[in-house]
This record gives sequence, C-alpha cells and structure tokens, in this order.
Amino acid sequence: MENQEVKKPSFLARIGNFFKTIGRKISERAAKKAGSSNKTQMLEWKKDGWKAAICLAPALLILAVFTFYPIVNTFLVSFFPSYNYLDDNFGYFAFDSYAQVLQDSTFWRAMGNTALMVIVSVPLSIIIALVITVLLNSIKKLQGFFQIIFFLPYVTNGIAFGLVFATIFSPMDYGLVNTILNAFGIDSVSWTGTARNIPYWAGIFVITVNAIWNGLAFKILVFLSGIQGIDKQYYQAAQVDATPKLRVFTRITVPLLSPMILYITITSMMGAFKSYSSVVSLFGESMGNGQNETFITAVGYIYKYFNKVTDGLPWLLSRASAAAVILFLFILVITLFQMWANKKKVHY
Amino acid sequence: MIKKRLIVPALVALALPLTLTSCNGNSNVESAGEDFEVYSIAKLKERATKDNPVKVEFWHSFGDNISKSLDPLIEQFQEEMEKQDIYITVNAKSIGGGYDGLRSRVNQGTKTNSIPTMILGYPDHFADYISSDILLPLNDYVNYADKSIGFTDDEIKNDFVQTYWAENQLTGKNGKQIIAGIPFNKSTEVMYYNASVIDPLLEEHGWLTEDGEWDTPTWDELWTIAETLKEMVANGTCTWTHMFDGNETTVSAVKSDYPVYIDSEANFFITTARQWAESKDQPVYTTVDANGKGTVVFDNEITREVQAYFLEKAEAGLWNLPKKVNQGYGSNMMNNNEAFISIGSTAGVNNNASSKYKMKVAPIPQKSFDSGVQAVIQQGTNAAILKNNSNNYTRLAAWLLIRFLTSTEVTTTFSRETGYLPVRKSAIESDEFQEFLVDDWEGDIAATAKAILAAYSQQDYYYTDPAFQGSSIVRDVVDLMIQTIYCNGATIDAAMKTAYQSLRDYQINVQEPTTGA
Repeated sequence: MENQEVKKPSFLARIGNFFKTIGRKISERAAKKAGSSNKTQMLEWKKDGWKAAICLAPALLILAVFTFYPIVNTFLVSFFPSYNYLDDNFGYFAFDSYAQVLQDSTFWRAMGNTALMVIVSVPLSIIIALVITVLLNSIKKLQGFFQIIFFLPYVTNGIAFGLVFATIFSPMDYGLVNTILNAFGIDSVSWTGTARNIPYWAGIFVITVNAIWNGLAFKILVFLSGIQGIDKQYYQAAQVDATPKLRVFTRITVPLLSPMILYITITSMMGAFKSYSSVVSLFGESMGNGQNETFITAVGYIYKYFNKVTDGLPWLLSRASAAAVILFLFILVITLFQMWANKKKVHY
Repeated sequence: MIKKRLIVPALVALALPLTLTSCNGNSNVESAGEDFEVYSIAKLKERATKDNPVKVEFWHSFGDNISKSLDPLIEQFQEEMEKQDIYITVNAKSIGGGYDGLRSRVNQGTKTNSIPTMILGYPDHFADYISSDILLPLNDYVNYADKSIGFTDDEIKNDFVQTYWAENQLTGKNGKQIIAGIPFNKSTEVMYYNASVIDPLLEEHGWLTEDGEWDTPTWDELWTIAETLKEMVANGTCTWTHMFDGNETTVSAVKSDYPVYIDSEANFFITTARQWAESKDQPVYTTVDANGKGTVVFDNEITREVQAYFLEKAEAGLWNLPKKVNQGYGSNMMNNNEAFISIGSTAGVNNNASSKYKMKVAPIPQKSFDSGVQAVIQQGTNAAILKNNSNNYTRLAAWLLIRFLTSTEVTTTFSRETGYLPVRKSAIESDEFQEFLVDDWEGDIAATAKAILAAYSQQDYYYTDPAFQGSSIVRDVVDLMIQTIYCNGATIDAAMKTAYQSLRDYQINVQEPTTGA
C-alpha cells in the first residue's frame, strides 16, 4: 500500500538535508574550480549556507556543550581507570575499567533486569496503548472525557503518582493489592519497599505495571493523533467490502500507523533501557533486597558508581563511564537492528 | 536512504546515557596556600567599608526550624561588627540533601570554583576537602597572637569540649596535623522511652533512681523490659493513663511487633562494636595511619559476636530497625503506641515527644557500666573555611563569624533553641544553661532539656572514629549491611563478606577479616 500523505520533514531530517546541501555545494564548488559550474549557484550557496549556519548555531552550541562534549569526555575518562574527578589527574591509559565492569556479576544482573524490562514492558505497553487508542477512536460519546482520563497520568505530578502507586502496592497488609489478596485468603506479598524481601516476580511485575502506567498516556496521544490523520477513504472502502474489524485493524490501521509505532517503539525501548528513578522510588537506593541489589538496572549500575564520585571516591568516574559506554553501544546495536528489521514494515 | 537518515538522530538520542557520567569540567583550581596570611582586624576594617562590605558565602544544610535560630545570630554578628565599623555581609544558604548533599555540592563546585567561603561538615567531608586541596587549615587563626582573633590556650584546652575539638584534628595533605574545623552543632544518641508504661517496670526491678531516672541502662536490662512489654501487649494488659487536654485518658497498646527500635544502622554497629571492644583504642571499625590513609577492619571476631548477640534478640522480636516495619524512625512507632523505646539522635527529640504518653530520655544502653568500654557516638557538624574561592579578607570575616557562633553566649542560645549541645564547657556550666535544664518546662522545650540532660550524662563516653577519604562511604556500606542482616534475613557471615567485597570494589583499603572468612 502506498502512503499518499505529504509529510513535512522532521527537524532532524532538516539538519540531515542541510548537511546534504553543504556536501552538494562543496562538490559544485569543486566542479566550478574545474571550470564546469556557473557563478550564480555559488553565490546562492554562500548566502544560504551562512544563514543556515547562523540559525543552527545556538542549537549546535547547546548540543556541543551539553551532549557532544560529555559524550567525548565519557569515552575519554573510561580509558583512564585511575582518573580522579577532583584533581583531574588522568593517570595511565588502560582498559581496566571495561574489564572490571564486564567481569562484574552485578553488571550482568543489571543488564538482564533491564533487558527483561525492555522485552516485557515495551511490547505490552504499545499493544495496550494501540488497543485503547482504537477503542477511544471508535466511540462517539464521551470521547473527549475518556481522552482526558487516559491523558491525566501524563500531567500528574510525579509525587502524587508515586504516592498512589505506593498505596496500591504497599508491602503492608493495608496496601490495596494486599487487601484484595487477603480478602481471597491469600497472604500479603512484599511488592515494594527499601528493606524487605521482595520476590523477583513481584518486583518485576510492579516495575512493569509502573512502566506501562507511566508511558501509556503519551503513547495514546501519539497514536490518537496518527489514527485521526488516516484518510477515511480506506475505512469507507473496507466498509463497502464488509471487511471484518480485526482485518481493518491489521491491514489499514496498523500499517498506516507504522511510522508512529516505530517511533514509539524506539523511544520506549530507549526509555526502558534507561530505567532507574522508578526502580529507586519503588525499592530504595539499593534497588531491592538490601545488599542483593535484586532489581538493579543498567543505569542504576552507572549511578551506583557515579554517585560515589562526589561522595568521597573521585576515582570511580572511570568505572561509571565504562559502564555508560557499554550501555551506549548496546542500545546503539539494538536500535540499528530494530530499524533494519522494521524497514520493510514501516510505510512512510 | 532511510537507514542513513535515521542513524544521526538515533546516535544523538542513544547517547543520552553517556551524559550521565560526564559532568567533569576543567579543573584549574589555584592553591591559596601561598598567598594566605592572617590579616589584622585593623586591615579588615580598612577594607570592609559601608559602601563595599566584605561578603561571606556560608553554606549549611539546616531546615527552616534550625535556620530560624541561626539567622538572627548571623544578623547579631553583622550588627556587632558594624559597631566596630567593620561591614560584613553574610549570605547563609541552606543546601538541600542534608549534609551529604552539601558535601556533594562542594565536591561538584570544586571543579568550577563555585564553592563558599564557610561551610559546615563532618570530619569525613573535611578529609575529602583536604584531598582536593580546598580546605584552609585553621591553625593560624586559632593560634593567632591577637586574641580578638585567636583562641587562648585555656579556651582550646579547657573550654571547648575536648572530644569535639579532637575530631577536627586531621592529617593535612603534607602529612602534618591540622585543625580542619571548629565544633559548631553537636549531638549524640539517646534512648527515648514511654515512661507511662515503663517506669513502673523499672521501679519493680529497682532500676529507677530516686529522681525517677533510668540513668545507667544496660542492654540486658533493656531486653528484660522488652520481654515484659511483649507479654503485656499479648495479654492485653499494656495500658496506662495519661493527661490529655486536661483529662485523664486511658491508652492501650494492642500490637507491638518490636517494643524497641534503633534508628541508625551504622551508629548501632559502630557503637556496639566499641562497647564490646577490649579497650577504647582497640581498632574494631576503621583505622587511620600517620599519612591519613584509612583502613577498614570491621569484619572481626568482636563485631561478629556483637551481631550474633543482637540478631538473637531481634529474632526473639525484642527489637528491630524501623525499616523492618516500613518506617523511617522508631518515633513513628512510639507515636502509634506500637513501640515503647526508641534509640536515636538528640536532634530528633521533638519527634519523640508525644501527647499520648509521658516521654523520658535516658542514656543509650551500655554492655556494662561496671567494666569494659562504655561508648556512645558523637555526632553533629563543625565549621570550616574553604580557601579557593575566597581571599584573606573573606577568610578573616568567615573566621570571625565562626568565632562568634562558637562563643559561650551564642552556643548557649543556639543550644537552647535547637537541642544541639553547647560546644564549650563554660556554656554548659553557665547559669543560663543550667536554669534551662532544670526549669520545669512544658512541651517541646521540656523534651529538648531532657534530651540534653541525657546527652550530658554520657559525655564521658563520647567517641568518634577517625575520618579519612571514603570513610562516609564505609558508613553507607555498613548501613546496608545491617539492613540486610536484620530486614532481609542475610547471615552475618554473608553480609560481612558482601560488605567487604563492595569496599574492595570501591578501592577502599580493607584489612582481611580475622574470622569467618
């Protein structure tokens, strides 16, 4: 099926186009030097190129200071295992920090937990969001009301959200879930808490519910805007042919929403890979079951060392940096693989 | 084409985790050691004019309640200086995240030289600042000949509480002993208890003095009381009467998982290890060598024996950590009438005062008062000066503020208002303070006075472990170790081994265990 929509290029695509234009102009200039170009084109390039550069400068400057410099610095520090944050003494070059991270069983537990969160919560939240979106789109009455209901978590204060969640999954008998379980004669479960023995399945369940609840509103918003932009002709044609609703969903709705599904999948996956604050809020800074760090995540592992850098152990920055680089490479490979795998399924 | 177009944004977005670890800026911090000189008051007067006052940036981490007591004292300091035609503007700022947040903020600011002139902190923090060469040794100010700036020998040796003074003597970067800070707001641990229900039991055992105080509690006495309380709750006989709103009210405790709670995991571990040690000087927790390098020694026969003793009592349901019941402090359980004894900081006294029972404050229990070592941890922060973002005028102004805040009159006032302990003996012995302690106060003031009295009754047992770079992380590791033993059911052996593994992982020097390994 061909997509007949005319889409405006995104901001990032425009940056890509800008660089392509620069490349083309450089080629043209080189060609001109070789005597095969005209004067007018070169002047246009000069004028337009500077304008673009000036317009892009503030954004590029901010990106350079707050994104590119830290990235380069992180790579650099990760190769100096004795780097001292406080006196900037780099020490010797070695791969020790990488070796320490890769030989640490806690790191692999953190990666395993993170992978589990990605594999479980991302598809589940997308499927739930899609189903809710389609149902929301199909109702006529009270559509606005339900949209507000589903969008409320997105604008709710994080503390209020945390309090509600803590009440629902309190490890005490008075917690909402435990009250329900007790009513059916089932013993209370330690769902959350900083100093409790939380069963692994219970912890992962709570993390997953938290992730789904947290991200649902934004996903629904994106899908709803996408679904409402689909040309009604397709649905009318399907209606004329008496196509079953499930087939309409799988053959019209999903393919035409595929760019948004890809976008949501990639951003959700990156979000899940970066899970940290939700785990700390549920299980405390040790991230579950005291010294066991049962629910530690990859970013949690980075913070474990990073937080100690300014708490009196300035030599741990290299270790935190090495873990960050490994996580970066991991996410990069997965994302590229995902984009490659989805290439044929996404209809632009 | 799609692939190429998406790679750039993907790289940008995916790079976000890397930014987590890379906030280290350029460090070009100039050492202020060489240009340091103690200026005279006259020189400060020339510079600190009305039109151009000397500005002192002062960071602490007090909440609103303590700030309300501190701010008027700072204003008083400025006014007194103005009377001498010296104009100093103090910008006192509370940094969030408690003392650890304050230390973190200073360590971050060191890179960009955005640090204050004056700071409060623990000796552990000062050890960090010495390592990053930002702490100004106070020796030259303390020993300055002009005693309107320096302290007299009598003040140093006889007036400042010696254990407070001693904890600020650290090893400097050059290996020499330095005065890192001056004691300012000090506290210790005490035992709060529900006297309405416990006093009759103490009387029965003959452990109550004529003044109605439980003045020399031991752990064995504590367990005896705790067992009785548990039985009383189980039998439904744990009731007491208390005056509430002018009426005599009967209160019943119907549930008590643990009659006793101990708030601080690390303090519990360190204090009990010290009490069980063969002598005051036996290393049972950490040691520091002549160069200021620290070594962890806490996995040893004594600490294992102590923990086995306390674990048995915890498993018998006599005590536990508040975290065990999802609480932050034992006072919460006391206020719910689910606990009757709480061991915690004097700084938390007002949380323990309740309208539901008569609160009394006792010293913390000891292993024995007749033999062995008696110990209670000494807490609270000290005032120090940072040299990098300051000059000799701001340093002197900060020093004069420290001198003012630790004077006999001011430390008395600050203590009365906040519950922190005075740092000078002359303040403790002053009529004003003694009247405050014995006066028949009501409400929060009464509680504060009781806590201070209990604190002073154990002042001979105060101790601190030497600070070194990373010693505060050792405390964090011990906190988690104790929590894992008492709340997560780990064995003492496993928890100790994991704790040591963490310390090795953080590259902190550990002495291999003398037992259990």
